[in-house]
Amino acid sequence: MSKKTLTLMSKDKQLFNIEEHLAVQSVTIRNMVKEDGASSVIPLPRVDSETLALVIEYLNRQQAPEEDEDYVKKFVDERGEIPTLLELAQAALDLDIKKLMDAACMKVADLIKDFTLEEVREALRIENDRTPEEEKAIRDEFQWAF
Amino acid sequence: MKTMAKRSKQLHEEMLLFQILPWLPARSLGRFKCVCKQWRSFLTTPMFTKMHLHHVNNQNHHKQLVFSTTKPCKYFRTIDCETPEVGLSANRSLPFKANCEEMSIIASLNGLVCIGIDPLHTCRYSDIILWNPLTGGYKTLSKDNSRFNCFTIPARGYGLYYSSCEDDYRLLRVTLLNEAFIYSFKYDSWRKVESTNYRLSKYLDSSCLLNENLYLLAQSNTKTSLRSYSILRFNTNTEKFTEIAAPSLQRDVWCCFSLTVVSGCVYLCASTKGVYKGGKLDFCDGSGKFDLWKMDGDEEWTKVASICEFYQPFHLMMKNGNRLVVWGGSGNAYEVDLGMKTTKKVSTYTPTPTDGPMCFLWRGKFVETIVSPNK
Repeated sequence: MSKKTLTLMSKDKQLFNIEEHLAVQSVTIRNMVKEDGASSVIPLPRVDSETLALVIEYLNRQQAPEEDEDYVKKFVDERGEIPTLLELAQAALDLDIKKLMDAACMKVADLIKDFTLEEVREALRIENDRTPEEEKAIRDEFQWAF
Repeated sequence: MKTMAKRSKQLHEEMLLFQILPWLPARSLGRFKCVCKQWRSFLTTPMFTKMHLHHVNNQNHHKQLVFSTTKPCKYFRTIDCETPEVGLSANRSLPFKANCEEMSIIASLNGLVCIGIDPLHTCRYSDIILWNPLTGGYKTLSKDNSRFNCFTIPARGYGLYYSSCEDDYRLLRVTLLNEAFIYSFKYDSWRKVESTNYRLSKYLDSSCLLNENLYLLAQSNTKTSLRSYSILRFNTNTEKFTEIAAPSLQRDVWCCFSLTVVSGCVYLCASTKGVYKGGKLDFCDGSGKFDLWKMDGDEEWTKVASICEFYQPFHLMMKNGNRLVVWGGSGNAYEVDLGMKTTKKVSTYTPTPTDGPMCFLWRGKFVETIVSPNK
């Protein structure tokens, strides 16, 4: 019996093939397959092709279960760029691949934990909505953390 | 197209708040409250505090409080139990009026440390304080409905727990007269609960919480000269007590005990200055020993290690498997490999004029959280 293959389509319309038994590590895909057999192409309109390629690489891993923890850690470590990790975490969240999502989120947290306020805002594209006076007041309030 | 971009930013935002921020250390969270207004309000919600606490408790990463003994003894520092070689943190002042000479630590849970203060060295705490050493937040227990015995010190039996259905931190107090009182931090008040029914002669200053049960170590009353020990289990939901057996501790002169929970198991560490052999006290290797016992699901005890070296009872389990760190009173830290039975010194402390010798109070182990003692 040949293994069943699924086709996933990224936001930018690129197609990726993956064996069904590997793809269903994603709870989202598993539910889709259950519902309609998913014989056709599964569109993932929120995941770009670069990110989807990473997700496919992760799903295709050939790790012994006991090495899986280390593998996923190493996998995200090698993609140590915050924007890539954010996209990866978002895709893993949408596709409901918990281990990958947790690892990517932990990695982002680890990268930003010692950042200054300015660095956090820049890395995560967050606008400072406080006046300098307001910022000083709140910094004083949380002085223990600086 | 613009709405798409906005939508994608919003999605990231949700992931950031709910999936990434809870993994941050508590100290970073304090700082990141200053990033923007939305983060400030989100990071102060009770929901976020709980999400963060869940991760912190899974990580099992402890700090140990140490106090300066140079007058006026108002400074404290911490040691990271996972990286003791880094040494002491910068010193901070105690936020409340007390000095370390008059303090004892009663219990510690979810980043909150419960402290008893006895400035006149009487037999009764003048105040009990719940304190988050990281954020500096603290709360003094009210004396509403309290009885004299809620604050007495000798042979204290205290345990701190959290009631999830009531969302309330509570302090259990068991007295030698078999009375039991519970303090609710939500209602700022004491109440008496049904007594323990067990006649125990002494509580041994050690309690721990596992799966909504508090375990308190006690010494039982026996007619013979032999000491016997037992453990009182308090079910925090039903508020009922059950006595369970303690490990079969021999006649050794145990001088300190500590109950602790590591990876979902209760451990009892007992240390002694010497052991009885042939009716007389024998100092094994000129020092003493400590035994480590593990309680299984059926509340049966197994001895997992017995090591012939005497240290102060600051025993802390590290994350790296079965290791144990014991702090010497001098401030030195040792790492003991339970399997290999080897000990190595991992950090040395040289007293400075500002600190003097450091004072390690028992039970000064805590996790760093943003839990506020004030609801």
